Amino acid sequence: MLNKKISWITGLLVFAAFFVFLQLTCEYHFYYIEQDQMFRYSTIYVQSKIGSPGGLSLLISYFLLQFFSLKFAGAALVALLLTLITYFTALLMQRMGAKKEFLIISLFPSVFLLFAHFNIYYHLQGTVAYLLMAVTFYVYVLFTNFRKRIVFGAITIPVLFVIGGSVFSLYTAGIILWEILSKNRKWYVSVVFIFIAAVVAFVSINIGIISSYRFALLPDFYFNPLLAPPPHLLMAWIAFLLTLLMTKGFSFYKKPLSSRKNLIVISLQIALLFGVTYKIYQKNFDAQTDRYKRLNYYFYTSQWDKINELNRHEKTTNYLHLNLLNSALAEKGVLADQLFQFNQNGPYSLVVEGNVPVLLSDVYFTMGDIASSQRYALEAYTSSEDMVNPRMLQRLVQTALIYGTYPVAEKYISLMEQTLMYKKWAKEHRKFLCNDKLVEQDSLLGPKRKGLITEPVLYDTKGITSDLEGIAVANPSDKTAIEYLGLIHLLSKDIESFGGLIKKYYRTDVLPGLPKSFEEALAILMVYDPQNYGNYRVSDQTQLKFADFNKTYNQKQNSNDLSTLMYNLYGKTYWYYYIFK
Amino acid sequence: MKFTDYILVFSLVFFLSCSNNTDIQKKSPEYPDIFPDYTEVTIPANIAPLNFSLKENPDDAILLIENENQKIKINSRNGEFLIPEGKRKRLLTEAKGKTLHFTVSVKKKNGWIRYKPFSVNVSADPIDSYIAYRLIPPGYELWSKMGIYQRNLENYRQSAIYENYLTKENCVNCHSFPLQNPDKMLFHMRQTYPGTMLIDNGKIEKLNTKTAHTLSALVYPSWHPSGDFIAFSVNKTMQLFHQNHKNRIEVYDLSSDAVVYDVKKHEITTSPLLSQKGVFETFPTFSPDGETLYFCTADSVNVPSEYQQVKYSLCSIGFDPHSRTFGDKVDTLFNAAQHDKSVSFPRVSPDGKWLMFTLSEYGNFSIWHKDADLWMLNLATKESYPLDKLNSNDVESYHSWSHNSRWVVFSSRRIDGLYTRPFFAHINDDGNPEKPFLLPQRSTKFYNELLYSYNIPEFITGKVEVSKHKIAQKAIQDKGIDVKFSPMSE
Repeated sequence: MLNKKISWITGLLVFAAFFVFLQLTCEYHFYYIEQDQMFRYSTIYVQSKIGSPGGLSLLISYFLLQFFSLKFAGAALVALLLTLITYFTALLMQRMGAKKEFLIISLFPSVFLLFAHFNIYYHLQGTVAYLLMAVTFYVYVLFTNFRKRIVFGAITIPVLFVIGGSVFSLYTAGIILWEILSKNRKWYVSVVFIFIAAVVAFVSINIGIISSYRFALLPDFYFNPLLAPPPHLLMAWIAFLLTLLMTKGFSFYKKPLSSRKNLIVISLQIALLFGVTYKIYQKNFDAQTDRYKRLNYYFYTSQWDKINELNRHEKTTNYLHLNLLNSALAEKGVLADQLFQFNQNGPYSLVVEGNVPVLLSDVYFTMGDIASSQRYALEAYTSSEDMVNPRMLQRLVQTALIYGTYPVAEKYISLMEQTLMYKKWAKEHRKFLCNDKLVEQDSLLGPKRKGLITEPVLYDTKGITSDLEGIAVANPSDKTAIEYLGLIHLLSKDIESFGGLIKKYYRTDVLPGLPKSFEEALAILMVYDPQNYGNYRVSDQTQLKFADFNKTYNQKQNSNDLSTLMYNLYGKTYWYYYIFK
Repeated sequence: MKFTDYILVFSLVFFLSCSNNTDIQKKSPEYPDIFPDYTEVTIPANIAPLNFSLKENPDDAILLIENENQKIKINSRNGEFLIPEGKRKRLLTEAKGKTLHFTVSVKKKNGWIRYKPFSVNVSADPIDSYIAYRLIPPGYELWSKMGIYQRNLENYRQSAIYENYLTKENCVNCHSFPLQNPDKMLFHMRQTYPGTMLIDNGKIEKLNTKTAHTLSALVYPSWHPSGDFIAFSVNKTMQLFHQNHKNRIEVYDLSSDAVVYDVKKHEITTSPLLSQKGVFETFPTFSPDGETLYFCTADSVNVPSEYQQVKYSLCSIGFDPHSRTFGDKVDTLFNAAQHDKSVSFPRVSPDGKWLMFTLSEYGNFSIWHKDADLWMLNLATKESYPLDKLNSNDVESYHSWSHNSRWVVFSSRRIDGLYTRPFFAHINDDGNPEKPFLLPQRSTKFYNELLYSYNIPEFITGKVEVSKHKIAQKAIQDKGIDVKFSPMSE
């Protein structure tokens, strides 16, 4: 009774430790990877997943992943899986005669596995499959009759392949090792398992359901196939076999340990555990990536102020971070007023180039460039590993509604209606189908539809600036596109093109007034090109401040720390950016 | 139970299942609104059951399929009518050359309503038992998973001919077969392990098809009936997309030529008439007798600025397979300038009577052109006409003929405007089509849940048996045969 209680308490402590660690280090990672699946309650969906090798573990992992959008759920579910793996590993160790003092070793496979979760390219399926393997292994050792055990092993090797994937090879190695370490007289019979596993791998490769032995036999099966997995993923497998070996090694020591030795053994294990944890954490936790995941989450959940706050405290020159920051400013309607309050790094700070389709879809949607947003949403969707991304599917629904292409919008909506987490959103958007009036009245979709360019323009033939101009003219009441356009010129330090924009649109519907950064840029033009811009006016405050800037600059020109000095005084102005960046 | 008891019980069950015990309150003058739309279509007797569902959601529904000799009653499951495989076989075999009548009755609040019965004509012409196609998500430039698949048309079984996860998710495209022969085929791999995979009765060759004398690696293929030659286009292609246009994407050629590949000699040859400067030549296709090469040609213009001015005409040139030489004149069969339209994908029926092609406003990438429609050219009279029964307000593009020249499969985006689906149509003696039908699936929700397009549907007379593992091994391990360019023999 007491033992049971202690087991429960230990289990809860292990779970709590995993949970707290994961919640502190991976909260935003879990929100991020939730986007890699969209579990649908549909027969066709289930059939499409369960038919492939490891199908059941894949399906279970997707089922669990759908809850990762909820606070604490990701950490709790992964912690639960890891705790169960530890539990079954400990049970196996006990079956081998391990003393309780050595059971801390059972945590090692789970710790290695835990760090696999730090990587966005690792599939939760790997952890689910590992647990299936550990449970099957435990059932295997429960058979005391050798013949029955062998039959069970022979049957479960291919079964594990079908339901769990490549983890069957770890299982095969484990049960053979078990038979050898158990000093069974007929241990050599278990060599048949190697033959069965080899047949499974050979057949799966030759019928083309697995591409190579690397994926058939190694944990690489649970990682993005185009990339190499981190070494600790393989270590999670090796640690399992080492655990069995070490258990056997320690079991030679029959005498009970003195309390001093007991303390030393436990301390050593804990020290090793912490050492390993610290080392892998240090190597695998990337603060930049974690920050991006956090920004990404805030953006997805429209928490604009939190994005600004994060950037205010932690300056960055990372384009991806800046794109999200600046889009958040645009969403708040203060882009051109507040842009230079944050560190900027050229025009790519507004919209980056490269293979980041989710980010680009978001940024272009904010800009009002619906064609590009739709394009990148579809790119993100189709190039993702499992051809799924609910956030991008939502974007595809929105862009299809904006364009009025209702049949395809309905297709996407009906898919989302089959989910638990996106059903409500999908149902709310059903009302827009074939209802132009409702789309036009909607506060998000309406202005975006109004901003559609009516002339047939091939994107990129004239460049992004031409497209933004078209959007700004199509819907002058939305200032986002014209602000982006002006700021692209300003961040490129192309003051002439900016001047052209002012000449063309200032005091028209498109640009009736000037936001702060535009005023500051115009002040430059007024001073340095009075012939063309002398007639323009900026506020007295800006004029005075610019005069002050020029005065200080001229006075301190020869100072060694001119840049720092000017930054302290004018770091949040366009003038500082124009001269010092 | 005795044998006679079994007969009695069976008869009783059969009678009960065939009796229509619904009390009809009202008859509707309209057809039921069903998906897929199988009303008044013509089907072959060897097609998989045409399961369909009602767009409305009634409390209960019954389908009665009958002709003079047979009657089958099917109860709906959530508005879906699933026709059992066994019943389908008996029904269609017996109805060959005749008409089946489908009557749908639905139970609503006020009682049962019977819709106007619709007919399904069962043609005596069999359809080829398989089609091959690529499944690919409709995208712009990026992709992940794709593959070339085959589907048994007599049931619902689909199997992979090749899937790109075997070769690092590279692009696989342009599968092609000579005269619907499943034992001989080719397809290209792009990016990782690039090359053309040519399969002949299980023997696989990897070809490196870019030469110093040709614009690009080989692109759009068409086999010579002998299997000894393959016509290809070579294209330098660009892609752009629209800001706000019904056709989202524009793909256009900067330059292109037509060439012929000699399978035995591993040589490429061409004619000056197929590789003219200032002219785009593309989509070459052989006639079934192998003596004519059809192709599309357009005067080159400034692209992308004048992309809407690119109009391809349909032309032909003679080809002598023995001497591997081309004729010295080009005939124009469909003049783009006259129609102010553009031709793509010419495909000749195996009996040599008809040439089906796609006609769109401009360019050659008709899959993204909403205005793209199917047209037919009578090769005897040289008259061309639109195939109105096959066309819709959305895209109709790629198409291929069955080996008996009585069926065509074509891709259309008519369902949702984006995802391409394969439709089949019977072509009668006069070269006119009957109403087409969508490839049947076991579940009527299948297409709605599928996020892939059916690309390049091609009829084949049987199953392709080549091992995809062997193809992958060849692609990965083999350096490939370098194809040579050989000027045309004098």
